[in-house]
Amino acid sequence: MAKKGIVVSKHKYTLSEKLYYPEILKGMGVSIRHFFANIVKKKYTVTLQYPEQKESYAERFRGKHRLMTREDGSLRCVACMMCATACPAECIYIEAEDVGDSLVEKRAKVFVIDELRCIFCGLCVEACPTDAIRMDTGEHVEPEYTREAFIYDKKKLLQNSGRSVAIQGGDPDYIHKN
Amino acid sequence: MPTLKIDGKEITVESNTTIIEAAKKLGIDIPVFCYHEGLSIAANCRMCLVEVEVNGRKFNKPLPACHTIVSDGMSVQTDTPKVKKTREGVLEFLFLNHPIDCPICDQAGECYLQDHYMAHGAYESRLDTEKVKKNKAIPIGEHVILDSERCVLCSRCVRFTKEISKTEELAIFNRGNHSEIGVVAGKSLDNDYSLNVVDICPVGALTSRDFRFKKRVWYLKTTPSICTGCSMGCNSSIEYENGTIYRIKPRENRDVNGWWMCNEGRLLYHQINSNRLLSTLSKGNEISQKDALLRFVEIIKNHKNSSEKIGVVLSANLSTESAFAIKNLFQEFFGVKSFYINVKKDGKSDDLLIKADKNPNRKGISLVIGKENAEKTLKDAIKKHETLIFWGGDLPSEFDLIESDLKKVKNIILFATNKNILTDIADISFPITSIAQERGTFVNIQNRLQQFYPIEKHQALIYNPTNKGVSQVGSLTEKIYNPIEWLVNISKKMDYNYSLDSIFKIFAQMRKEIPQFANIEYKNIGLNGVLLEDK
Repeated sequence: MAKKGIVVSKHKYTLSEKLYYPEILKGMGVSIRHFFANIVKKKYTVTLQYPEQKESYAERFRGKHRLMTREDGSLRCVACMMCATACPAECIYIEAEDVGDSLVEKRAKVFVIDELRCIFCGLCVEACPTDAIRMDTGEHVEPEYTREAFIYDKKKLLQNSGRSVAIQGGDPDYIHKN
Repeated sequence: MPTLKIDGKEITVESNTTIIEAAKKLGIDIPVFCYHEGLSIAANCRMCLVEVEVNGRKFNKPLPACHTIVSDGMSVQTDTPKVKKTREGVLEFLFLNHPIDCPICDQAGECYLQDHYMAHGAYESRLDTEKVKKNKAIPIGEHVILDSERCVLCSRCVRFTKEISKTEELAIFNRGNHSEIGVVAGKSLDNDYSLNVVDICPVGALTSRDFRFKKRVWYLKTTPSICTGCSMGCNSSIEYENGTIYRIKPRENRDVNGWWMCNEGRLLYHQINSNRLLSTLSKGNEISQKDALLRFVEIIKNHKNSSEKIGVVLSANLSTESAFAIKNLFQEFFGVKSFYINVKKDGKSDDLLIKADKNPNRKGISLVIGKENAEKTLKDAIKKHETLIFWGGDLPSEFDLIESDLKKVKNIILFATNKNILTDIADISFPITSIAQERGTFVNIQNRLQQFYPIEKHQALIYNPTNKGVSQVGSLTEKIYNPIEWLVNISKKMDYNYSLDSIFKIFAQMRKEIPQFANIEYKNIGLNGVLLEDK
């Protein structure tokens, strides 16, 4: 039976390789060349002085969550529960409340994200119909000493908040007849 | 008996049947907004248009399936390109001024507009002008809130107030694009059945103020149940999540409640959710379950030679099975002969559903304890007995007694669902499950045996971030036994060989002992119930 497969010829060592020391010196030479190049020319440097220097992330990097606000500073979230429904890790907990007017009607009384449970898939951002939740902070979730500290409430989620100008809800010029 | 074909399937139906009813029998779904089986036909939404051919002659225009009476040799097509285009067109008109505010709409998830758009619409919007704005979030009564922008003017609610509640509070005002539902001047939607308009509203125009923003409907699970508000025993379905009930809706049963239910019955779930007795109490102070059971056994043993001093009071809220099991244990093993039925006072009644007798299972318990016992009042019980054992939790306002009367009784033992004045004065109060947490049957005012099912016992660990960690949300169901489980616990403590530990064994025993139940199989009760024979 004919043997199948590729015949790999064994590498034959040259004399200098067999002697071992010339090869070591060659390798050391590469290291020493980089060592001096780094001192003389900074642009060769591939490492960063972390944490003073940080690598910038891609624009679409999914980082820590934040909640967006309207022009008047109120939370854009209308507690529709789309993000909580879409979340595969079930890390979002929302309680709705009645605003009592006829323009906004509904808002989130409680909005909590457990960043330890979160898998940073970004489905909540995709599901949000009001551009209320975003993951565009470009930051990682900071390390904490307790598990409780990873449970972000409304206040913490609003720390990095920004204003979103996406058109939302009814026409503010429309005056309620009653 | 005309024979017709719908989508090629042949069916013979009663004369005067409409196409939509015939299609329903064949399992063919025709989308509707204004058609409702319990109301008159309006045929104004035009969503159910189908192509009709009679004896080879085709109608030029599609006909409304809800309003067209079938005839012999008719052939109906519900899925031709023309029908599909018609549906899409109807939807486009209905959506013209719709605000698409599904994120804040309580109907989202059970909305006909959403369902039909996904199934029959899915077109691109062609509207390039401003939408007509209407009033939003207007409370039009104690229980209902109106959003005119979402309304599709199907007139179901108007027909309901005209035909069912006969109160005529709602009407359609204005013309064309500006038409809207409104309350007739000087009235508000405050009839006893007003929440039914929320159910029948196919869109989010009429929503419940009680349920408003409490839960998104897709999280809710449903269990068939029976309303405990009065002796009518309306068929209901309990909608709940994680052991908490969020709303109660009527369940169709044409022999009992049709499609409707009164407001009072719908709001009864608040009693199940709140003010519950969750631990064993002695004179209002918490004691351990073990101590309580020991004391109970002690009291019973003290009456070993004077069993006539024990009286057992059964609430008319108990299931027939629980009542039978209680009677069985106390009669067979403790020698108790005095059984009483604790009934609520008569309340208001009307011609539709609300009955004056406010006890859901008075008839069933009367069958169990016998007619003679059922006629005795609680006042007799207090005079005669040293120890009274109350089964089933009734609220204090419903008692025919006053506290001072009860103080004359030496020992009061209570098995209750809710906290009330009795839990404060009773020597021992044991918590029991509510109707939503157990299985059983009621006999309603028509002598109909109907069964209810428990909501899913939720014991899984649920993550609740507001509690900062893992917690058990379904706390209502933990550590609370149902009456039958308590009986088993008691008989174990007293070393009795008590065999009636499941509802099926109890029912089998009931069939032997109570003649009215003799011919009834438990599995035949089903969701619509069975009528008991008068014997």
